[in-house]
Amino acid sequence: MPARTAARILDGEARGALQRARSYLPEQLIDAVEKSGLRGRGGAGYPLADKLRAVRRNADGRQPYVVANGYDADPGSPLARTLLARNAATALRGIAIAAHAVDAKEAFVYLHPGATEARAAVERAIADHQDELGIAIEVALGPGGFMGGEESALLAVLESRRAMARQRPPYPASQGLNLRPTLVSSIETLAWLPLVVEEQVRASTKLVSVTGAVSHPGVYEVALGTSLGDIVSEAGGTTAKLKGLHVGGPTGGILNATRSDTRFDFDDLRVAGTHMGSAQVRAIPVGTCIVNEAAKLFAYLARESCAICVPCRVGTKRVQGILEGMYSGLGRDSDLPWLDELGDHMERFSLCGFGITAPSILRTTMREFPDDYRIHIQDMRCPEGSCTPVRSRRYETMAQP
Amino acid sequence: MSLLERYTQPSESQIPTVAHVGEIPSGQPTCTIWIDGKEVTAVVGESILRAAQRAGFEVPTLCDDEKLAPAAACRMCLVEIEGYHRPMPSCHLPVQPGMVITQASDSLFKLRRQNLEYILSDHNAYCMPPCQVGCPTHIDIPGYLELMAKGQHVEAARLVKEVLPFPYMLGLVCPKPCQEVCRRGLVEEEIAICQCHGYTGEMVMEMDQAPTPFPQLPATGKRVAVVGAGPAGLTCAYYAALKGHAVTVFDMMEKQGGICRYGIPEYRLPKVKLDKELNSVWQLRDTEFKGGMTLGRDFSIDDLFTQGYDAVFLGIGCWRSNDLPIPGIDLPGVIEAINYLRMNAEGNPVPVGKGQKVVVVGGGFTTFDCARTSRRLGAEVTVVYRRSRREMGAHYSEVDDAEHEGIRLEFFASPVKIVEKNGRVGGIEFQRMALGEPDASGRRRPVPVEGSNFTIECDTVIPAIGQLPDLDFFEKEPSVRKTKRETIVTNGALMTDRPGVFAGGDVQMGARTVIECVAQGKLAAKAIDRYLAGDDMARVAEEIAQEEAVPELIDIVPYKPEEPQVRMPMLPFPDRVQSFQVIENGYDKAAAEKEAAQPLPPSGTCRLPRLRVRLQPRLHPSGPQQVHQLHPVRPNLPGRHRCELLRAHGRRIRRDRDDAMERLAQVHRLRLVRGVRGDVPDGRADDARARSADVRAGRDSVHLLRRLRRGLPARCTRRDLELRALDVRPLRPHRSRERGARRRAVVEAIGRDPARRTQLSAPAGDPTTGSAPLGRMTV
Repeated sequence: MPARTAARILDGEARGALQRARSYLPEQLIDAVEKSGLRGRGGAGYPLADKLRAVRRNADGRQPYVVANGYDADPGSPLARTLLARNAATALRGIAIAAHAVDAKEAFVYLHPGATEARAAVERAIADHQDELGIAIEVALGPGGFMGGEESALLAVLESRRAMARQRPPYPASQGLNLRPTLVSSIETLAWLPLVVEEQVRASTKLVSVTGAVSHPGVYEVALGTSLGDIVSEAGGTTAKLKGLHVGGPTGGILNATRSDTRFDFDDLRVAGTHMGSAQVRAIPVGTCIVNEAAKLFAYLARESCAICVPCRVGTKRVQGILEGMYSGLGRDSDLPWLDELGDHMERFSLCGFGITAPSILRTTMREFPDDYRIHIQDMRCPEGSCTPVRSRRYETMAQP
Repeated sequence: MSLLERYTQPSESQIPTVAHVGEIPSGQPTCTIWIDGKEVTAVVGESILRAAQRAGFEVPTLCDDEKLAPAAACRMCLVEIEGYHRPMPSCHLPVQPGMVITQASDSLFKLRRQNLEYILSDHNAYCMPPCQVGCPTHIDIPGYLELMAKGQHVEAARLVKEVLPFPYMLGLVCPKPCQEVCRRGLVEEEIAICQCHGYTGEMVMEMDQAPTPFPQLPATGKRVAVVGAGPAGLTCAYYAALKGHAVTVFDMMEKQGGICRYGIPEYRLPKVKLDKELNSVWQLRDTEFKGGMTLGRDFSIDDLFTQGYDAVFLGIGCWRSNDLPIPGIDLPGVIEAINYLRMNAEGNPVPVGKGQKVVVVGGGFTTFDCARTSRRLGAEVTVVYRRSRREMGAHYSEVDDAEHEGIRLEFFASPVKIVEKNGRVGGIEFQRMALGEPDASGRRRPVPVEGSNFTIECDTVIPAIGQLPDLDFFEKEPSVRKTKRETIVTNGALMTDRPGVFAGGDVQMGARTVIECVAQGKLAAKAIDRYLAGDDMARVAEEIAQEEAVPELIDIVPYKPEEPQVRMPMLPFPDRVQSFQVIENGYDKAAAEKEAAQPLPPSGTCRLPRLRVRLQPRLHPSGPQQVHQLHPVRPNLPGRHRCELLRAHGRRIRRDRDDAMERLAQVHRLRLVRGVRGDVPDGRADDARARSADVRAGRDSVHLLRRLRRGLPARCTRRDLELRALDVRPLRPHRSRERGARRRAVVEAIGRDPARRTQLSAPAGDPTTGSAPLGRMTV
């Protein structure tokens, strides 16, 4: 199915949607959302209707909040920025519809401090549509960095605390901002609401950021279920022979180029070992060492971890160290089971999605590119000849198997 | 209501704390949950962790605290709950009726262990400071220093008196094991911990009523007899009295203080002030001192029980000097060390005076007490020891001081016989010794050198080679056993084989330091209290062993030094000749507060050590990072074992400081040659001069490295001179430039194509030659 025929949020207008939504009872509205199959675009793919119901159920007479997450944590995936710059009014209408569905009177648009253009667009749109929106929408800026976009860290920021994750349950839907029920949803998800209400469409497209070795990197809107190969072709095709596809942003896994027929969908990506995440598809050309790539990703994660929980704070650092040792020619056979063990621990014991999803990098690369690891460990050379050693000693600590 | 929410509720609407020991208050709604298959009644809304703790499950946790909102950060308390697909933190989830929870399983154990390994690998300091671990009584040193720095001296004294009732006395006579391991010593100079509590002790001494750590408990009606009014006995009496027991202290001497009064000379410990401090025991209700009563002569242990005492503590100390088994030891002019000190302390005439020549044999504290006393009486004194200075048992400062006071030291000489002259001592013949193989204590055993005999002429010989307890009364006490070393045998709770009879201090350990005796007195008081309450003594012994477990510590990152130790004003050396005036003049308020304000920050309690014991993380040493080893103290030999540990501990810290310096040197491409250390081995009694030179050199080189890092001129004559003086040489200073040039040359030769570069630098198909293509980086 070509993407263009479907409803698109990048240029959908739906001017009368708010009017129409207000004519529904909230329950009816939520049913309509359920019918559209709208799932959270933030990466986890949680059905929005369930979230709306949970917020309503937990409200118990209290005033809930709506927080639209337009933070774009992954610097390589400026989806919300693109959306807001192009179509801020629809996004704001979506927020207003969600507020109506949960009886909220206050909403926040949460943005990255670097997203100046998007911020200007939102502020302009708020000023232009003040009367139509009918709720108080405030623009809030995050602290910058990857963790600032995490659902619970975001609430901490709005409460003027450091951007650190919080254990869930309780979910924001029961205890969010100021311990009140809060609908936290990505702005892309909420931007679907006007279309869903007005045109009764199924929410079938997703913004995706295509980067790496492609002719025209950028943000595209594609139908869910499009194969990864088609997404790359959408962006003008690759500029070099493809080695792998990194899907899902910094915590997402790297799939082998042979798997470019994988469907770009919440469930299919999970089956493939990665996840939707920030919806970035990065084309990795031949000549890139995957061990090095994984190490770079973990170096980024180790820097960005909010450090509240032990598995993520220490685990990312340690995995980074092991991978760096590996591509510095200091790897050992025992490193692979060790990485397995560390990944397992991170996944089971971490506090938030950051640590839970990060091991997917290890899982996918070790499964799909075993040669890169093997050559580095056994032959002590880089399969692509591109690695420069960065360590002179193995990453040894007191505790290791 | 969730836990987070409850935490933010006003206090009156919060659930009463039933967490740790208490019972569920009546009227609380409860529900039933299952933990590990056991049915548990829980208060609705409390956390799973609390319910589990109350039900007796030990769920490990580090970050949980009653007073704080649950954080779920340490991830140790994760449990498996039916219906959740991953382990959930039990501190963060409120119980719900019918929950089925697994808190202990193999997979959880593994995951928790991994987690603990993470924590430990990332953990470069310890919440319990080494000084506190190092002190046998475990005073809260950071705590009282902080109070002192704030000027709250009475509070500080209270805190000290929680474990050490006599801070003034210990401030003067303690060999300062705490300062040996002070972390500040890593970066510059240790804090004068001892002098600081000495100051608080001296200050509160002037109060009419000495402060107590906590109010004396109501009378229990039990009576405790303490035999021996020395440091161990009086400490035991003090804490037993605070627990509400009636205490009677018996002593063979007329006055209180034991060896501290009769063994330690006036110049080290003024007796008027000692009395003032010890009187704090008699200020407590139901305490009584009976002097001049000797166990075995005036009364027996049976008598005490007949008189209605419920427990007896034996702290009778070591009052018999070891015999020196050489010919001529019976000649007039040979004095028994302890007797000599005692007579001098009592003000009786002693057979040492002006112009006499005295030889003291030995190397311990008593040796130097005798020598310095004799010196003050006007004699010419020689101390002869069979090993070297660094093996001496006395604190190095004491050895140093003695030398400065004009006492001659003679090492590597062992007495052979006492030479007779006119029917009394005329001299003493020695044989030279050399160091042989190390013995069981780790000290190198001296072996005699044939034909090296020499004689020192003298009028008086004082053998001071250690003391023994005087256990003559034992013949009448078959129920209490003694060891070969003439000490009393006790279990871990300091109880002898006879129920209700406890022993501690020198008589249990052999002659040791005052602080170790105080520590034992404290433990004995605790054990006696538990005994009188009818507790199982095996369990008490176990608890004591667990509490006294000594964790071993780690290095810290280099820390910016600020202030040197505030110097204790000392009596000038010329004034010490023939004067028993106290040599340490004491801090004034400003000095004490200044010194107390200096420690490195941490304080608090740490659950890590216990978790380490439980979860057994797989830690293996890798250089200086290896840390946190728990050594349970062997309960029957606490003192000695701990001393060995301490020594090892001091070594560790010194070694780690050296490692830190080495790392710094590496960063700055300097070669650090520790010529000054050379052959000085580590150990408690380092050669004093070598030690101070070592410290100075260490500090100077760290300072220098710091200067270099601040970007001071890279090459200047002055720096070169300094480096040479320290034997620190620049390590191939132009290397980075060379390497840059080399890299440029390579790039020019083969172009910038990385693939080609790899090819060129590693011939394909021959992995054995030279370094691998990605060659291990050499720095």
